[in-house]
Amino acid sequence: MNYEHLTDEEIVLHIRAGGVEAFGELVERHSSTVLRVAFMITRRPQEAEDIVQDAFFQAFKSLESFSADKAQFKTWLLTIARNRSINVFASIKRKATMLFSELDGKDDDSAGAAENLFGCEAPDAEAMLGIKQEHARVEAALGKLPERQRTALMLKARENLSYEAVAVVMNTSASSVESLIFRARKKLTELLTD
Amino acid sequence: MNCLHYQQTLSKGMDGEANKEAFAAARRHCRQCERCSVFYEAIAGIDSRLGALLEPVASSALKARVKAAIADGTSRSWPRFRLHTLIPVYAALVLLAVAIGSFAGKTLIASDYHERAGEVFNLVAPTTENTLAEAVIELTPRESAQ
Repeated sequence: MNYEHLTDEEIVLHIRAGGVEAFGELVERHSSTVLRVAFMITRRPQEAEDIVQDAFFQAFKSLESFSADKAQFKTWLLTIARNRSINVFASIKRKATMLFSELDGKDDDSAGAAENLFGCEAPDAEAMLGIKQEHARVEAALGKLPERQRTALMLKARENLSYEAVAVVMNTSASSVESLIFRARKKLTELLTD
Repeated sequence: MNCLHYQQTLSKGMDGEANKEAFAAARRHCRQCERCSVFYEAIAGIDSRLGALLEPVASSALKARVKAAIADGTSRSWPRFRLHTLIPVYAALVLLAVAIGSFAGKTLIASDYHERAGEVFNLVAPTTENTLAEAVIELTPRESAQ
């Protein structure tokens, strides 16, 4: 059966009525968004992929608790993904303080994994180098932001969620989101103009 | 109104979340205020740089993995152990092995000591008929006696 013409919420109703296979359509629609959210929080490609699987699994298990009156399915799913990502992020930070500094070789692996994640190929080495350097600079600056500022900004700038939706995902108020995004932009301005 | 307020409005307006009139007023302010004008250009530039970042894409393999996990009813991604994450576990196991080895060694020595002490007691106890010379001979190390 083709579910492409149905909204997320209609698909959820279909799943609740027993059409479990329709969940695959939700995976097709939102896995990249969940992956981006997980990656923007954890900054780790492998962990981000694990979070995608875990977030969808958790969403599927607790689908009964989803209420379309309170939030859109995508917002609800991103809330789950963010919570999971924060747990993983905290765990990564703990490990980082416990273990000695990151191994150079491991960084190389992460870079390779990141290339897979972003699905990028290198058509022109010189052009790619410039783009990569620019991306690395922006990524590094993003990495220096507090997690909440980074997430709020990226959910707005990349996922184009409204302040209200970002607030739901981040379990805060729209005015806090506004403030987080403003501070994130201000900080990035300082970091990227140096 | 101060510059901070205008800058906040400019940021909000870029997201399409500001009141139209307030945003227009902030834009007008930018014509007179170089600081706010530079700020507005800077944040617009940042948003376009964020937009140009490579977008992570969920591969078909990942989607298949997610669907398989749901079909199986088990999320197999957690916990994921990697070699380096097990270093503290390895260290704890080594320490445990050393501790057990050390304890076992001490126990053997102690039991040997008690055995030897028992022998001495038997040799020198008044109830025995051994002489002191016999006791001294018995107490010499077994290896050297051999």
